Amino acid sequence: MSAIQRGTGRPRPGVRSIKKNSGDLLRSRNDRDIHDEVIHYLSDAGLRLAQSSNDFLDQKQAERAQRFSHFLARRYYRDRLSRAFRYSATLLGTGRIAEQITDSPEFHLILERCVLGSLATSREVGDLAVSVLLSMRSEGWWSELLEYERAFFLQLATSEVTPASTFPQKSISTLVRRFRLQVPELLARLKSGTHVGDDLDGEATLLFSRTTHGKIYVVELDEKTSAVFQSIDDNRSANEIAALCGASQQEIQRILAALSDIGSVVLPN
Amino acid sequence: MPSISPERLSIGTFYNPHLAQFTLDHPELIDHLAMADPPDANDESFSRIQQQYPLLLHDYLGQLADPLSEFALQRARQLQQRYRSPWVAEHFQCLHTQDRTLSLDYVFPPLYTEEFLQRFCENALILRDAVDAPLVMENIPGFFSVRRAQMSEAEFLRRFFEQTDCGFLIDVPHIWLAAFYRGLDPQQYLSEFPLERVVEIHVAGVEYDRDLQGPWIAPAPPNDQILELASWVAARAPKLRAVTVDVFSPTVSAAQLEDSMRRTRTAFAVKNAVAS
Repeated sequence: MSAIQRGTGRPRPGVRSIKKNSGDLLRSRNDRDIHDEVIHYLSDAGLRLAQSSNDFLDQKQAERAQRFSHFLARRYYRDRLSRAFRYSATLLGTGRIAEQITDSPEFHLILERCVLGSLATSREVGDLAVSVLLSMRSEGWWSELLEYERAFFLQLATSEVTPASTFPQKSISTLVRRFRLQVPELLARLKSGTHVGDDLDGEATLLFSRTTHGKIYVVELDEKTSAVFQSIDDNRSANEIAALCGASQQEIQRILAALSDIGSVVLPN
Repeated sequence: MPSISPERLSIGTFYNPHLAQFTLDHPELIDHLAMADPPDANDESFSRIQQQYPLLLHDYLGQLADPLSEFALQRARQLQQRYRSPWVAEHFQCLHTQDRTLSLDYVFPPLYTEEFLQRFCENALILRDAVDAPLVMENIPGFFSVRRAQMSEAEFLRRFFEQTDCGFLIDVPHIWLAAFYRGLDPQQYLSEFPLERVVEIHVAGVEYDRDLQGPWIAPAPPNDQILELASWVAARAPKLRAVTVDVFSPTVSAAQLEDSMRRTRTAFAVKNAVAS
């Protein structure tokens, strides 16, 4: 596997899908627990909508918290958009593409149902960005560049935690995409300012993933690794994957560990 | 490796990699650089930057509301070994949940309670021991109030500094905003803060935010009001060593940085002249 592009390491938002068990509910809440509830409240528009009242905010402060949550979300997605769609922004000669998207009425509608860092919200914002940018240039490679940036954005913006399982599973935001041209060559030319024409023949299949520490990987998979990744379906053990791919258990363990290192696969504990 | 002068106030800014050449070309404007992120592996300017300027470790090392992982402590140690910072900075913030599955990805103050005070004191001492350097802590403004608070921000900070003997990195725009949203005069708001603990001052601008419907932190040049307040703080801070223009963003231009540095140097030159 060869790494093409990485993101930077920063504190990451995450999204939990963990249900509180009865033990949690019975335990008395300390100040730290209350603070977690405040963080949850600020992160999840659905929760704010459902909670007409709570014991940590009066009505006036709840209204201010709502405004603060919009500020947080707008800032968060603006930052991820500017980092993910930087090639297209450079080509368009504007540094304000991210602002153009996050200041739009369509983005405001997303804010009303936003769960900060969730895959669902990242998809919505990514779709909006591509819909805004697609018509701005007409070259054949433009749409492929935007798809590359959309996939990269999904990794940058999604920190939703993949729940633990007894079998190897694909991480929630990991995706594999086949491009109709040599994307690595396209990016190299854009980076160096070389002319980009219609001569980028060939295809490229890239895997996009994110580690728990927020590092982004974009890699080309070799044939064997690709077969292993495609055979992961949340219901197969490592032995079953090995049998399906015609590989030794030792080889499967090595490939799964490599996929886990780049955050594309979550292994059982 | 250069170090901050003990003889005079050091006036610097954050390291913005896209402005590396401007930074290298203007030692008359910049005395030190704060590091918010480690330099990129491809940053060809950084070795010259490090030879020319003292560096202040101002990365996100972890939130002191919770115990830091061994990974976080090791990372902090490695950064400090690399930068040789005269002090290491962290924030009075609590932005992610205990299970780390949710984070606001933005500075956010803790509840000002006895429990949080104890947590911050314990974890600050562990971080300070790990990096083997003085620790300074930066104030963070809140935009809304949570009912559980048991004390003011000023009391929380004062008791924290008394218990840990850490230094105070006072972010003046943060103070200005906290006072603004409480409807208080900033100097009145500051009256209970332990300014005698201040080691470093941050200055920056504030700008109108559409969501907050009022001013908020922005990567903008400090305005006169902020600089006047910063000078007022400096006159009451006998341990003050450095003033840092808190502008760290890929959107900041060389012209904006130059303007910020000149304005800040002028403001503190006036203050020093008045004091002498």
